[in-house]
Amino acid sequence: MTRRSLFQAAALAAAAAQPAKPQSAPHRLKLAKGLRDLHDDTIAFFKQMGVEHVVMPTRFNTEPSRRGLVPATDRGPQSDALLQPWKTANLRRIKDHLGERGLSAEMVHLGRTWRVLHGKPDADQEIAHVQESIRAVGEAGIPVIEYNFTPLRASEGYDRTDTGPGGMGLRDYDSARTEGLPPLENVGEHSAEEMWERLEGFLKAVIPVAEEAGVRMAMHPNDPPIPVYRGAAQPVRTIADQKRFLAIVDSPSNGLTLDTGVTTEMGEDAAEAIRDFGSRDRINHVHFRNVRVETPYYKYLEVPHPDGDCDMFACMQAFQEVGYKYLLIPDHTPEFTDDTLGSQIGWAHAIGYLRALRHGAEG
Amino acid sequence: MAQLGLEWVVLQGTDWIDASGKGYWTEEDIRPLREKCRAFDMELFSLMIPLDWLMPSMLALEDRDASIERIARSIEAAAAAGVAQFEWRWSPDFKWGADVGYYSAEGRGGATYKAFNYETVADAPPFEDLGEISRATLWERMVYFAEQVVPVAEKVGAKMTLHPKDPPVQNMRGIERILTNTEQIEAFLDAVDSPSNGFTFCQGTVTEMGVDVIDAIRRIGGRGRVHHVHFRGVRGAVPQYVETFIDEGDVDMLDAMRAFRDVGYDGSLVSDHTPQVIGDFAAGRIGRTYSHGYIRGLVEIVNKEAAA
Repeated sequence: MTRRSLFQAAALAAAAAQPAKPQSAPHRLKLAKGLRDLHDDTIAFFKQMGVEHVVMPTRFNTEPSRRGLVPATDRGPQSDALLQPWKTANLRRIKDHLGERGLSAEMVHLGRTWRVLHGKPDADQEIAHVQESIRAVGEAGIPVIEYNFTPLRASEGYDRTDTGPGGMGLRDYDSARTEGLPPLENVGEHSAEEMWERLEGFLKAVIPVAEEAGVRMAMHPNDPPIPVYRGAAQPVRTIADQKRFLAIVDSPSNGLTLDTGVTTEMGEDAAEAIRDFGSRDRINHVHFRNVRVETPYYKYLEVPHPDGDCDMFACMQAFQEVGYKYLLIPDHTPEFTDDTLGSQIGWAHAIGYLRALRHGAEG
Repeated sequence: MAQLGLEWVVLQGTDWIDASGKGYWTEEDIRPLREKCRAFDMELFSLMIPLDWLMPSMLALEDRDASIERIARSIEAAAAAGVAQFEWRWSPDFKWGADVGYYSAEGRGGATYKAFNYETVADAPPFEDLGEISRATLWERMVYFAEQVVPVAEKVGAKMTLHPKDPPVQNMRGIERILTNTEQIEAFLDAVDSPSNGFTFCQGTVTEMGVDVIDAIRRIGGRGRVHHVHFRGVRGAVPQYVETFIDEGDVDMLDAMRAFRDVGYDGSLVSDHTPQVIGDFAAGRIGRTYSHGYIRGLVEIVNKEAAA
């Protein structure tokens, strides 16, 4: 027994002899990590980094894989298939697997609802599948589902640059790269009005089910936050859009993913947005990321967490202040030289940094 | 290192610099290293005096004065090439295995921690090659060395910084260790009282001493005599402790960083040992990266507090 554990034992013994005092420990934000696989080494690694909460994959995948710096080009749906519903037992199996290994799985990410997004005749059937998935998530004891409402992601505006410190690989975005690109045949054109109409229908059908299931939905804003890409409007790309979105169904189950990166890409003060949405209990998931913005909405560089325009510490303090209760994950990582398959160097840096900020935010 | 946002290079492994084995450094040895760092927008800030060069002084061998001459010459040459600081250690028994009380322990997420228990070596015999050395002898030799080398550094505007002995036990198999508490550290700074004679505040080792670490930062740092910082976490203290991840030791690292800020510390601060992370590189790059991320966060916080 070390000297420290001796002291602790003595302190515990003393505490037991006295009437219980309320604990004044500060609210502890859940710094989490999104998992792409369930390999034992992946689980062990993030536990060693001090992670206790995770976003879980929805497939029992144990194979680690490399995540590219630049996202794959979004080609739209490759078939007319509906998004299939999740089964409670499958979700439980994954959640329990993680739980037995000391990680609490508290969020899942919904796949793309192409039929809904593109206003297809069988959209209602797909919504029914989403409702079934929400119920399964509730039964599996997972509190949050994240999704996005993106008819086609402006992925062709991304590129790789090796201009980071020490030549590290960074991802940059420039909407000039997508100018004049025609609509895709399998996607078509979708106006902002149409997208909002579909979103409204989706929320009105889905949120009451989420409320009943005890599940919170977290809508990730359109990223990159440009107005239109290949003829497909990006409906939720500003703070005003997010407010309009929340007003459609006023419920804690109808919430946002607050992405500090996207908020900064909009040219907005992320900490202020956190206080605003957080104090109204409408933030259900968080992505921590930083960018250096050249032209808001249109041109920016994704940088290491400490290096961007967004004041990460002010954001952490704002989350602490509003008592945010759900997960916060470091989102993208830049590409360090010779990093491992699972980008462990990048994640170690991000998690170490964010854990220090959390410690500081606790006072 | 540049990718981690670091600005200064503190070269700890320096045995390879004098590739031809001539026993000292020249400006020509150092300049290319400096240029190499500059190519990555970093400054070559500090060099470690090789342990082999110190052995004649630590053991008072025949060529002690000649070796001190060579070290003085090396410091002058490296300073002329732009190096501002020199680290040194007073450790005839520079060992890190079970023979000096270390063992492996399992920590967070199954990571492998380095732990120390004095009891396992309390009754072990002296090392065959080193024999017994008294504290007074080691101290006298150390002061003899510093009295000659520190003025050289002072003259060329460089700093010397001495690492405390780790683990800070009183006696390791017949060698009485020095600098095992803050009184001895301060006494040494008094004995060779020059602004160039400073202390490497290895926060891990100071924690292992079982003293109030924040108070020690304020006291020694307040004298302007902390020249370098090793920043790591430790749980417990001599005779028994564990080297932990940076954020789970006994000392609140944010409070420590605040103390360094408050005493106006403007020297170098490096990450130090970390537990062995699963799948890490040989040099512990992932574990170190975690520490560096944490340190950057702390530095950002204390600087923001100061600006507010």
